[in-house]
Amino acid sequence: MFNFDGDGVVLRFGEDHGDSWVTGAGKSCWSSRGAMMTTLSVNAPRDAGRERTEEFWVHYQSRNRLEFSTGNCYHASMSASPSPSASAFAAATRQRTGMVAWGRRIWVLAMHTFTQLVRMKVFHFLFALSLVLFAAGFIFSSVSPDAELKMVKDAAFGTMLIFGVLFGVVSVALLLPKDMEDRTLYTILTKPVRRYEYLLGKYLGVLLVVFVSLLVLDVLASIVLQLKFNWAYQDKVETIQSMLDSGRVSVTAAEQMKVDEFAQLSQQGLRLDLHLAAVAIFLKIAVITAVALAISTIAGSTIFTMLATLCIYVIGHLQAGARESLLAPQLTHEQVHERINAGRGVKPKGWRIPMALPEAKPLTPPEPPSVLLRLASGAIAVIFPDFQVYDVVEAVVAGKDLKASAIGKMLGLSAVYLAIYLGAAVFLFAEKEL
Amino acid sequence: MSKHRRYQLAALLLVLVSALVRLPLESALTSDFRQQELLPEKLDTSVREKMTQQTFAASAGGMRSLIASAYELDAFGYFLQDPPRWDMIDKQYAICCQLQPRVWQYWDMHTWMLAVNAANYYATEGGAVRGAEGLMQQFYRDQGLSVCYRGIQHNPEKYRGYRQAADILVNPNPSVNPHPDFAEAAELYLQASKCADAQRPPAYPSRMLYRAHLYCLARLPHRMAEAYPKLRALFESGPQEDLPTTRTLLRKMEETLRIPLPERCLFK
Repeated sequence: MFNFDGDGVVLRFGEDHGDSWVTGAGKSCWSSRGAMMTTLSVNAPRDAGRERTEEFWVHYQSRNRLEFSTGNCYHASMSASPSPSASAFAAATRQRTGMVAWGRRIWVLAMHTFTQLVRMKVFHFLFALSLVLFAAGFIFSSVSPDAELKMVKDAAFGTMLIFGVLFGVVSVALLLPKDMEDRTLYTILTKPVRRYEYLLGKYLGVLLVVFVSLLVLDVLASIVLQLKFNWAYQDKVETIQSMLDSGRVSVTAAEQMKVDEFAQLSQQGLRLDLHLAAVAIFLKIAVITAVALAISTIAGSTIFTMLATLCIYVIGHLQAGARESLLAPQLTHEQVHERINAGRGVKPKGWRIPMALPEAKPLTPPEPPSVLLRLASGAIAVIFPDFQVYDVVEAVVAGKDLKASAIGKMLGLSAVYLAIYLGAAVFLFAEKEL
Repeated sequence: MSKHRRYQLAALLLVLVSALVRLPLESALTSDFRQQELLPEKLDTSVREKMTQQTFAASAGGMRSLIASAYELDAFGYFLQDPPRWDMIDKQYAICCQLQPRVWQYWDMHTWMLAVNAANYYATEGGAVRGAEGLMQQFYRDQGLSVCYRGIQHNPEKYRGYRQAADILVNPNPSVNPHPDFAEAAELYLQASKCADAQRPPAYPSRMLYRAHLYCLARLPHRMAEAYPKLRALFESGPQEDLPTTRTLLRKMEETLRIPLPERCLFK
């Protein structure tokens, strides 16, 4: 442990503080992990009189000069007298190796990105807009309680999806150019931070904001859904009670009806599956954000990144069709004709639908897809991710059960997507001229 | 080739080569989810003509459920108008049904709006051209029934579809339903009572539907002989089945079938 009386120490913070020179006085010490903890009484115009503790990362030292950065990416230099001992410098600057140090660097960048994003106006605007959209779903009433509950869920999940996708894409599209514009990127990259660590840090920071926002929206939706459910059930009970009072049903039947209504309404109420559906939305946002990150490394402008990613988002929903057409066996004209007419005239098993079916006419089979069309389908299937697999929300909202194993499989596919698109982003950013 | 170009090429290769791993995974997951009915059905191309560009794009972008809810809200708005716009209600609900054909609720509401509300509106309010009221009632009743049958085709495992179609067929209002079809309704009620969701605890719907099936049979002269022992067995199964309609129908059947007095269940 090295105690350093920083009397007379001069710290110059980087671009974020502009020309604010700060003088610090107080206690500094090397932490056991090699970072320098400093308690400063800052005398800068902006932070006058405030005291704060910062953890510094030392990346250059000489006999009486120290350069370091903080978790907030401030670049600071210090001319100190007396200078720290050589052993203290050695302890502070010793090379951190292993996964812990690697993870820590990324985490620091992620947390910085988190703070940066939360302070951005675009976040406040989008979040406020989401809450308005969220509230809109609860204001409107519909004919049946089932429809009202579905509307609440639709509004909640729609809000989560719109907010998550827009925020993920916009923030990734903004962050990289912004860091370059205000030169934070150069400051960070002069530190012992690799480019891919910077990218991962940024990505994790964005995901962290999205995760927290979705969590808040999910909790809000759960509370409102439960309240709506209680009101809807109360309404049903009152209706049954009025039927009982007017003698239209017996007491036993009324009790049975109450149980039945509760069982049926529960399908539209709060269930664990709804939270799993929120996880599916988060995974979808994670993938589209990774795609946006890959695009932003080659894009010349923020607008280009946003538009290109949103186009990919729509194409990704059509990827399943393109993939099926690519992987499906190529049928001849005659085979297509046979297949189309094979099912005609076959009655469905079980109960017969008693509607008059139109007169069967021989169908003209469509032309088999051209080579060019198959190539286009192939390109779409190979390049773009399949976003439709994440669209389980609709089924869950409609009352279908979603198993945890389905989410597990989705998680596996998302890991593959992230490896591909983050890998591509790392490659594209590795030697990019900044 | 510059280093930067090499890295760009590496990125492209990563995306292309990884497709070998990715595509089979995606296909397997898609077919698994389709089997579990978790994924939305393919969007009917005809629905495109009925929607705006934006709503269609949003539907294709994974927000089909939200868009369907918005259309339902729109339909409800037309329902609140005075007089209600039945044509627009039909159109909006048709889009909802096409967007989410596996959601029974939309078929249910669409059927109810046409076969019950619209048909009764023309029966009671006389909103049609004079003399065409009966025609309009029939038209909307048939439209509603047709919607209901289409809904059953998409959701054959849900008892509510069969029940609703049967309810329309045996609607006691003679101006809307001048020729109740008890034979068809009996089949529908029976089918409904066999559905898995009707048999789930507390199994109240299943019993009720089976009873409705027997009531319909009891009203068909040529199937009374078949209905009588079944309805009698149901009546004797417990006090909860001792209902006024059951008693009335049993008494009527015993008289029609000329059951000897000592053998009649209500004689005891």
